[in-house]
Amino acid sequence: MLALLVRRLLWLIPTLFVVSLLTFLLFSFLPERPEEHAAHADLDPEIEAQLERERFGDLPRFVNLEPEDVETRAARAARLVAEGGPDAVRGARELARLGGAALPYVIPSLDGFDPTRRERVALALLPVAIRMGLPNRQDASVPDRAADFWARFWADRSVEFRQATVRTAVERLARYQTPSRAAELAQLDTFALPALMERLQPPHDAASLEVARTLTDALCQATDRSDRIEDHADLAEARLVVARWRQYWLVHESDYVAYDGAGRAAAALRETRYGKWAAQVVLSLTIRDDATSRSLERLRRAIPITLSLIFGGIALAYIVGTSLGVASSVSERRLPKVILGSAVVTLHALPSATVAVVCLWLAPSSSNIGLGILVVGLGMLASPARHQRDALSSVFVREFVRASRARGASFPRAFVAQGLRQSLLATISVASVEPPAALGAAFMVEQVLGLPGLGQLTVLAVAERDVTFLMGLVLGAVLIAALMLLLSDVVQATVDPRLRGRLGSAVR
Amino acid sequence: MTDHRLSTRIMRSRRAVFGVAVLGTLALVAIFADVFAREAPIARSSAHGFELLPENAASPPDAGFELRAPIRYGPSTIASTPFTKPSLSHPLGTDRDGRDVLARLVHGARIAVGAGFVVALLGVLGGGIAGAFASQYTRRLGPTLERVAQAVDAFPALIVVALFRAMEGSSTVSVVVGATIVQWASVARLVRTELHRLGAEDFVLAARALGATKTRILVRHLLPHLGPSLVSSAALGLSAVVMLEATLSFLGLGPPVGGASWGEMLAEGARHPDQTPLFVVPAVALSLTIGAAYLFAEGLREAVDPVTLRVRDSS
Repeated sequence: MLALLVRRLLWLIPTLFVVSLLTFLLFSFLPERPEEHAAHADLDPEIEAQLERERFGDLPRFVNLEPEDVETRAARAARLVAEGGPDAVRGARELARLGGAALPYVIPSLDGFDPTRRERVALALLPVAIRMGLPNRQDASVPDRAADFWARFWADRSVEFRQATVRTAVERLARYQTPSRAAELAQLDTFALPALMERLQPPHDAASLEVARTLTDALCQATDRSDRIEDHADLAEARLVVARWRQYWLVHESDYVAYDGAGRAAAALRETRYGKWAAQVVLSLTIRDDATSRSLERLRRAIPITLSLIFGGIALAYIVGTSLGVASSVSERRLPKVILGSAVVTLHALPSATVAVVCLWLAPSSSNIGLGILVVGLGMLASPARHQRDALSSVFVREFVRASRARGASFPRAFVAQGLRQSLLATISVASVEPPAALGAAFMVEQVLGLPGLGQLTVLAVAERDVTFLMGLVLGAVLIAALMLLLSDVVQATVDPRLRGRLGSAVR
Repeated sequence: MTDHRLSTRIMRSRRAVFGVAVLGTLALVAIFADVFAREAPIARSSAHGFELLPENAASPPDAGFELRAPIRYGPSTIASTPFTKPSLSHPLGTDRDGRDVLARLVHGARIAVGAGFVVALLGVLGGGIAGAFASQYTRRLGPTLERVAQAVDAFPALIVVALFRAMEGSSTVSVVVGATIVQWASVARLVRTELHRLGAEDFVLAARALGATKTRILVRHLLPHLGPSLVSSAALGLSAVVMLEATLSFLGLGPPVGGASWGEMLAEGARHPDQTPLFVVPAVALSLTIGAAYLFAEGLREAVDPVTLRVRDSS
């Protein structure tokens, strides 16, 4: 039995993964908020493209068969510059941004261009030479000497453009934090970014704060960004800066990294909207900035309230509803049956909000979670009452109950040992699918009674397109439903030992 | 002696009759909402004859005979001052914006009952076809369908429909599409289970022994037995969709639906507890719809359930 349970629990992992894919697919069709749409309407196309990129809107949803890396970006930018024309400026800007990371692909390709085109590309690399602080960099600005300048540079320095060398340089900078080590790294420009980002960790003490400051200074130098850790910054502020750099890297990693072999296969999944979203979730959980911490704190307070309403309501409904179903089934008088049935149907038909408002009218000062559980439970009475009544009615006419009575069993004994036990199986099975249905009632009750549960957060999340929150909600609901189903199977197998075999076969 | 004709058994069930009467009335109100409550005239007699007018038709000073709706306000018409007490011109009063509550109630039926009927129909069609196909034609598909249906059932319908509303904007179509996606699964499971049970019955075995094809057995022998279960399931689906739409509108999940929604009216009533009719009217409308659907499903089930019939016969 234990092995079967473990196997069923392990099956949950792929199930939740598939559910997250389906849910993400649904989210991916959500349009941007109207106010965002209005704000983006007048933007420059390049800025809009950048914003789209930061939202990962330029990536495919689940599989990226042709993930772009620094090699493809550099080749495209060099081609634009070489061709001249209106796109050359854009290509030159892109080459300057890609910087040192593009040099291993652009400089060797210069020989493939005719002299005019070679000159254009070589001149476009001037901002990189200035940023790197290369000696004799004025040669890079002279049309007939620029190509030779870069050829000489590559002949002398190409050996330094290797990941192992860069990692050593970054490690030395982190250890000694001297200007000479910083200058050494600056000459590698953006080629050092992957190693710098790998080494950059959220600081936890004064020493690691200094390391983080030095590394972010090097990052600022290579990328022309100005997100530094200020001299007076404390640990929390420094961690925020590191978090922002991680977020930057999440968006721009493929600008500075070349994919090959396994890396390209991994990028096919990682360089997708789903992959980036998952990485972002992990990132925000790893480095908790203020906003994430506040969100988690709100969730920590809200989840118990909503779960109490749902499970308290279900428990109350099934205890009372099952009893009502039993009473309705064994009662031979018509009037109590009619009254019970009418009350149950009325409670089922009334929206939970109505019951909650009426309760507040009757007892204005009783707005608490107990009242919420009562209201949710009352609205769910109909299902257990009806199932229990029907199940008992059908069990009472079964042969084994009649045989038990014929053998001399008293009515209470036949009722409890044969009828009730069998009829409970159907009710337990129904109970397992109740939590998702109870969610709406719980949200309504929270709103009316002013309970700070998940309802209000969900309304905000839908309005603000908070994919992470909604995904968490959906996965949480599916996980609870799956666990309830498993629990119902176990309880059913406990009540009726004949079902244990079926549980096993269902798993297999 | 029991009369075994299904229609007679249904007609003898007071619950089913009550359910059909209420749902039928609400369906008529939903279909002809524009005839019952509308600001502009419905039709006009002019020199060109009698003509039906569009919703936003103006009324010229020299207009001849005009046919007007009994409630002369649309769902968004500012009809009077806010929170007017019930009177002859506004039988249920007005809301915070001075809109006629009765007109909004009539138009609200369109979204609640209209969406409910369409989703119930689509759910039965989609779920019925999926369940029948999985049960009759492929052995492997059955367990797969069962797992998929379980997964869909586990999805919180509220969130799925809220997202569809956010996607499609303020349209009833988004509620219909989102709710259908989560509603079909329970019907598919029901159909598969019922077909599985019926497949072992003697009349099916006899048909198979006589050489009937799977399709013929499904269409001629099995589907007629599924009718009551499907109708009952559709009625419960309708009540679930009505409640779902009301919950979404009450919570304000997604953009507001155009026109009027009972859920929005309920939310407004809850915000103004001193204005009793504002709260009671949509609550009664919702309860009546959901209760009628539930009673119809119950009555129908009792009318066809062999156990109930046996118990009834023995008593």
